[in-house]
Amino acid sequence: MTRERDTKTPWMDLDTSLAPRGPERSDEGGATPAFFARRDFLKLAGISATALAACERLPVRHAIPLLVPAEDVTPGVAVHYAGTCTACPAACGLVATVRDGRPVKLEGHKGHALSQGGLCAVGQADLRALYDGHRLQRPSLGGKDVTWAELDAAVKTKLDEVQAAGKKVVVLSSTLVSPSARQAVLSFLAAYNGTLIEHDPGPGAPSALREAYQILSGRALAPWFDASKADLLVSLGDDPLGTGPDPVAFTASWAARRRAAESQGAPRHVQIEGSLSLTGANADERWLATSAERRLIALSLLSQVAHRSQGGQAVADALKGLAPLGEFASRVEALAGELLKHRGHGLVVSGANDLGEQLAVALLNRLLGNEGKTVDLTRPSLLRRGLDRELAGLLTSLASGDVGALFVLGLDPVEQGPDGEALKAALGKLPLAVAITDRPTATAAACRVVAAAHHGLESWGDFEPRPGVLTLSQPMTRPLFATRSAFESFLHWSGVPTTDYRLYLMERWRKDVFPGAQAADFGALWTAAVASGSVSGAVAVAAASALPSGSAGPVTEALATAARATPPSHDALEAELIAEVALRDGRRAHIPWLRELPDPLTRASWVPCVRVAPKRAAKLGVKDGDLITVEAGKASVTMGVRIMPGQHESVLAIPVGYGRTDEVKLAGVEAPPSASAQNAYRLAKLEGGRLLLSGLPASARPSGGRSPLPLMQVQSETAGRPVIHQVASYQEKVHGEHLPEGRDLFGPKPQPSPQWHMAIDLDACTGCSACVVACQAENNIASVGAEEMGRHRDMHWLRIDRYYVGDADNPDVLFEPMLCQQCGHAPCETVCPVAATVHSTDGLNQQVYNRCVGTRYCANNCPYKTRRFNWFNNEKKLTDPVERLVLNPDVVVRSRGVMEKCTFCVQRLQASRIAAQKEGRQEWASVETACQESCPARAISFGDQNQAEGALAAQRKKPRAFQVLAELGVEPRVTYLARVRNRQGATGHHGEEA
Amino acid sequence: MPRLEAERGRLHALIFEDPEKTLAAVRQLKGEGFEVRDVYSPFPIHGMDEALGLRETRLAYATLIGGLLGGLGKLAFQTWVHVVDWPYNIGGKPDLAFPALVPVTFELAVLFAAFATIGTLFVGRRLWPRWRSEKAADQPHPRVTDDRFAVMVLERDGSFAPGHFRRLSAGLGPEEVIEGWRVL
Amino acid sequence: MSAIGHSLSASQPLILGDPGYGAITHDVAGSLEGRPGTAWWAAFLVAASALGVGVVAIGYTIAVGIGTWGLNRTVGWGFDITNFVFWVGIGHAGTLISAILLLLRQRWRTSIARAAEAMTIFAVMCAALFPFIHMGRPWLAFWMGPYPNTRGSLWVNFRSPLVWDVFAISTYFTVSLLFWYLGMVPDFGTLRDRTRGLKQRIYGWLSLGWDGSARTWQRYEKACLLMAGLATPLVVSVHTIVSFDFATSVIPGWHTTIFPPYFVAGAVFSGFAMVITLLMVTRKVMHIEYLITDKHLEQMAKVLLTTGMLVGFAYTTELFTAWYSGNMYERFTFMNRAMGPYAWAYWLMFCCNVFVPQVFWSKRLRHSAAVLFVGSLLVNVGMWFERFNIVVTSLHRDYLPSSWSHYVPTLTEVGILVGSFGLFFTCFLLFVRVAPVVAFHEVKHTLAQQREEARHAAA
Repeated sequence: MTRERDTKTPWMDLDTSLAPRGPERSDEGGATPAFFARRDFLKLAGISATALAACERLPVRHAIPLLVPAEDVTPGVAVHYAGTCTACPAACGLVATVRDGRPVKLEGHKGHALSQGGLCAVGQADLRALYDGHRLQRPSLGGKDVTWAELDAAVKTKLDEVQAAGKKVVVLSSTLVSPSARQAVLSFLAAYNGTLIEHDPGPGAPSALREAYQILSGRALAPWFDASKADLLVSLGDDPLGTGPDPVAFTASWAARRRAAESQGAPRHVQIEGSLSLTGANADERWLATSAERRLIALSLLSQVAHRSQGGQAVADALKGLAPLGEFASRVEALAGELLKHRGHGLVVSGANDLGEQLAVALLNRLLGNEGKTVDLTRPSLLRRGLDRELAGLLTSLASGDVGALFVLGLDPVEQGPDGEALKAALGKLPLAVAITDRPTATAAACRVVAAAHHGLESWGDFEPRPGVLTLSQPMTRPLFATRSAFESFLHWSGVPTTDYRLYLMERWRKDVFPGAQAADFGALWTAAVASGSVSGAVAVAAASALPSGSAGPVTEALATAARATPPSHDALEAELIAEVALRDGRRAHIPWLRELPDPLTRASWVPCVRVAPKRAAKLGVKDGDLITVEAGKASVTMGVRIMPGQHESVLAIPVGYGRTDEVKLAGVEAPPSASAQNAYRLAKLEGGRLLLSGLPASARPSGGRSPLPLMQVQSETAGRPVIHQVASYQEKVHGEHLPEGRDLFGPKPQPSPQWHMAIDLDACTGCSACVVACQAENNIASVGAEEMGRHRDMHWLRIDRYYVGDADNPDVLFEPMLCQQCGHAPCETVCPVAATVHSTDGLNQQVYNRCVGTRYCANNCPYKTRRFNWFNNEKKLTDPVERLVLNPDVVVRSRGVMEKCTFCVQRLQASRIAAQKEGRQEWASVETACQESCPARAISFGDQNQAEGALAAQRKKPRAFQVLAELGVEPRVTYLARVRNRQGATGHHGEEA
Repeated sequence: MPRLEAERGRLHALIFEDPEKTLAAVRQLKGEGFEVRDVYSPFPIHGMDEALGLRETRLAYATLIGGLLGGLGKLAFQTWVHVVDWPYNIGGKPDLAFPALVPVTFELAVLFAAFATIGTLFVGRRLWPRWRSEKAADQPHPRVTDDRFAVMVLERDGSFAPGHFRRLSAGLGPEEVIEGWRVL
Repeated sequence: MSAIGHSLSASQPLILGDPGYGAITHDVAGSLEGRPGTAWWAAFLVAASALGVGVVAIGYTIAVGIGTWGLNRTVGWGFDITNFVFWVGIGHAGTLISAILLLLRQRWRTSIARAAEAMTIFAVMCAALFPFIHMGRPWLAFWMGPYPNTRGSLWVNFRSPLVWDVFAISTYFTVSLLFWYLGMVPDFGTLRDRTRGLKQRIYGWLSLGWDGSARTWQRYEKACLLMAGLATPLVVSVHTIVSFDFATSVIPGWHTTIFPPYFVAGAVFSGFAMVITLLMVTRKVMHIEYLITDKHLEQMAKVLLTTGMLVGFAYTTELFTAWYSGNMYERFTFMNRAMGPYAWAYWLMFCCNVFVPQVFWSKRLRHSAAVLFVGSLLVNVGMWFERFNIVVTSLHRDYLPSSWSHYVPTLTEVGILVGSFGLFFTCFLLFVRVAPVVAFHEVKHTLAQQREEARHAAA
């Protein structure tokens, strides 16, 4: 069976096999019989699951679930199902590789309109979350397990009491990206005239953004930013590439523009931030500014632009008496000039939860005519909808006690909220507190009713990240435990006739998505939609009306207020809560793959660390790993220090998502001590109806003691070695060290096709690390835990080296994915005494695990240090049978004492070769490696180096191409393309204007 | 041993305390036409070989042959492994990477040469584990492995003049003369 | 005869105050026939317990994994290979003294050759230990040998220096063992004739029925000469091949053409240091100062001085080559050795190996037991650190700065090092109890020649 993905062939859902036969059936409801079949199946599944779970046996451990019709599952053959990722609200398209009824690998869905085939680290790791041994396994009431019937009964009675008592019913949820889910929840709330409050913890797309557009356009919406059309991107403390609401889609568009640079001219990206973010690391130019300075810069930019564009007068006037810019004056003026030069082709974004700044940014985009081009308001982003003031309202009404029932959906506000303790107490007092989650979170612990929810890969769902983009997700496996889809629970509680969420979903699609489709057509349409994971073709955008340009009054008012805001004081220390690429808001902080993923910037794993500028560290007298206590207001956190060049001297960046109390020992991996002193959310402040995560006045003091950071990389400079390059333009040639051509003492070797070769474009690579986790998932790479990581015994076959170049306080950051270079003259092969590593005819440097005796000579002799040794029996640590399900059956699990390394995903190469030969094809270079497939930036090309045409050849021909340590004559099979830093200013196709 | 020709006769032993005297005695006796069969000593005595007229040993040939066998054999084996039986692309090097084969070839040459030398010596001189009991018969004096030196003179019927022998040996200053130590 | 030989025999005798052949036998053999003294028991106890520590540490390693050591993804070799090279080096003096000095007709070797050869055997045993236990899967160590198997065509990779090592070390061990035994056969004969009962049977067996016949002596001396002729190139080849482990790699600080001579010189250096240390103890314990005289020690001190300057030359040449090559990686590696995190180890090595031996320019110090003893110990420390520098400091900062790392040994590794010393001294102490620690047939030969010369001098 081929591994080559073909998402066009419809997958056979457990019963869509029946759907096409719909027509012959009674026309009412198209495939009604199917539904019943499905319902019966679910019942049986549920029952058996419960029964078996009850006696502590997990039916899914069987290779093939008995209840799955045999024709759907061929043992040992992978089937690919299209779906949607539910690891975060971004709802990227995914395709799951399912073996014997269990998903073993998640890939991006190339057909997805937004993510375009990429899948981030968190998405990749969602598979591990499915097989997480510490998931909630069955519903519970007041701590003791119950059946769903009992739970529903209990909830209903309570609800009636609450209603009788005339108290509020509230659902607190992270943004509901799923229209059907939204409808389900809303209809439930309608039944009890309750309210839905959406809130997403952590930075990124803050509430102020939507409030700004509410003022500006009358609708609290977040526009959709399209970086692919932006010649000039200016980001004020925003991190859309790394930890924004939709990093994959934004990265895809950002990288698309950069990849197009050869034809469309060099883009330019200016980042203005206080702490080094992934986006900042990828900027052409970086300014260091505190939050207050950023606000001022935004306003100044606005006033300068307003002055020089028609219709901006009112704005300009409102901004009179703006505080002086100081050191930034000249730069701001220049930047304003650049923005004007790129009218309609620029993009300004801000990550501040500050109305003034967001308003300024919104107006900038409007005045510059970016709206409708790079800023889309007609089809905005639906990924974040909550408004902080609603959350604030909830908290107050909780305190005042006029809330009777609170349903917490997928969130953990007790630990991911500003005032956890108070909330916890309030939950305890509530007549009805329901936690709907798949983890034993602190919130779940505080709620009496815990409705154990499905994992996303077990449940049905649809998603609408922005109008016109509708995707579906389907169960990739039978539920592992006696859990239930979160929204199905709501159906049960609201007492609607159809409590089967899948049917509910189909009903809604019949009505809203395919209105007027005949039953028969619907069956087909539905099948097609499920098969492809999304509806083909854009759906009519729901009345994307021209927006009412908000009345000038409130706008200028707000601006004036912002302008009058206290000017930035320099030396004051401020805390900024940041999200890390691996953990984001922390809802997946329990996944070993993510915890062990070294942060692309700090290069630390497992342990949280406060990022401190070198100068500040010197002042505080601390060095890497020293414990430091940061106080902001009443709250404080204590973490190890990580000295970060590129950090503003008076900004302390503190990652959120750590220190969760449900961060129980991760199976097989020693987790670091999870003191709640590491929970940065405690520092967040609800102020004036806005949740402040940055610019928090703070004080810091070394608290004595150390928490050694498991740093994967200790040396951050290149020590003047030509191992990585950055150039000023896309035409510039890299002057790396090279051996003269044809200098080969060993004589030529036959080079039959294919000769595998990989090209990595460092200019597109953002360092997001999706590839690292993808590689880990694909190749069964062990997680070794904090202690071993601290000993530099990381097992990652693919790592992302990070180098600082230039200015020590604000350096250029370079990322270099480093993997086995599959050298033609591999030094490792020659020295192996038992020939356990040898060369294949298609140019692969093969590692024969069962021949390896573990002398480690090969690793010593590897100039790239990409070989990894099994110091212990890592695989044995994965004891939980559920968690072992994550292992990819196509890849050997290595035992103690053997060497391992990147294989260019040889299992995929072989599968594709076999497939090609079966089909009598000559070429099989269409195969993709795991890292390449996951890359949202499409930075990796892979194929046969004998082919003169194609993406790979094109990349290798570029002047920026170079090979690492080629001068050693090892003939590496990986080509890198140098990163371009555009200092001159953008040369977009409209760059000539003005 | 010593391997005496299958002749009839009596074997006399002259015991000395000093290698010089021993050597002188051997020269004298041979000069006077006596038949000195062998000399036992705790360490080799310089000039004894010539005095006894022993011919040069050919042990070195064994060494040479052993060395050649080991070296060429191993070279052939390695070549066979990497070229004929198991050709493999290892580090992009040619199958017959001759320089890489030299070290092992050399080591094996030395090893086999050593075996050949020692083996030939032991077999040639009948050196293999025995009990002392057999040996007692061959050593004319218990201290020839310590600090005594024994000269063995063979008396054949006819040509041997006992009187002359006694006079002469007395003049050579032996510690003791064991006449007829053994009758063959 | 070379200058040293002349000056020696001419000026002062190698064996003091003509003890007579019987006395030599008596003193050397006597010590075997009597009961061991308290000194011996004390030493044996210490050595054996050290060996015990090693056994435990190795057991732990094999049971749990190489992870019990301080190694990491960047530094794949640490104490293990350092100890390996160190012990192989020690194992060179023995064969050098018995073989090369025999060819050079250096008669002063006769008193010390036996002990030195024994030292070789035991040192090589210690060395051979490490290639086995440093493997991730030591139970598969036999895969290192080319043996016919049922896994289809499957042989070893004869291009790998590790395979060369396997052959070099095993050959060296075998040949040294044969040479050692060959030398002992006549002495076993003597012991056989001195002892009674079981001992006699055993020595009788070991002596292969040795008689002292002139014919046997003739072949025997020839065989010894041939073996010496074989062992001499062998001894040079072994450490050359060990140096190939590093020289043929691509890692700066390893990939160095100077290594073979540099390693051999180092081996002789450390080997002689160890011989001095051992013999100064042995001769004291066994009261055979008149056999192993200050002259012998002085000769070896001179060898230390010479080889010490040889390695010193090698060190400086390395530095020069690194600078002269203009290769940034090469340059950095040596800057890093001298100034990096392991600089202390580098300078410790430099002092012990280059500066310390300089004291042996002075005859007075060459004769001072204390100076000689401490000096030889320091040289051994220095030589251990030489290997540590080569193995670890080259690895821990190689080509890609991103993977630079640091290596700190664990207790397990230290335990194994201690254990290897335990093994060495246990074996040596047992040896002095069961076999003649001085080759007395050779010594008597020397005595005979000495008398002859005396007579000539008189005449």
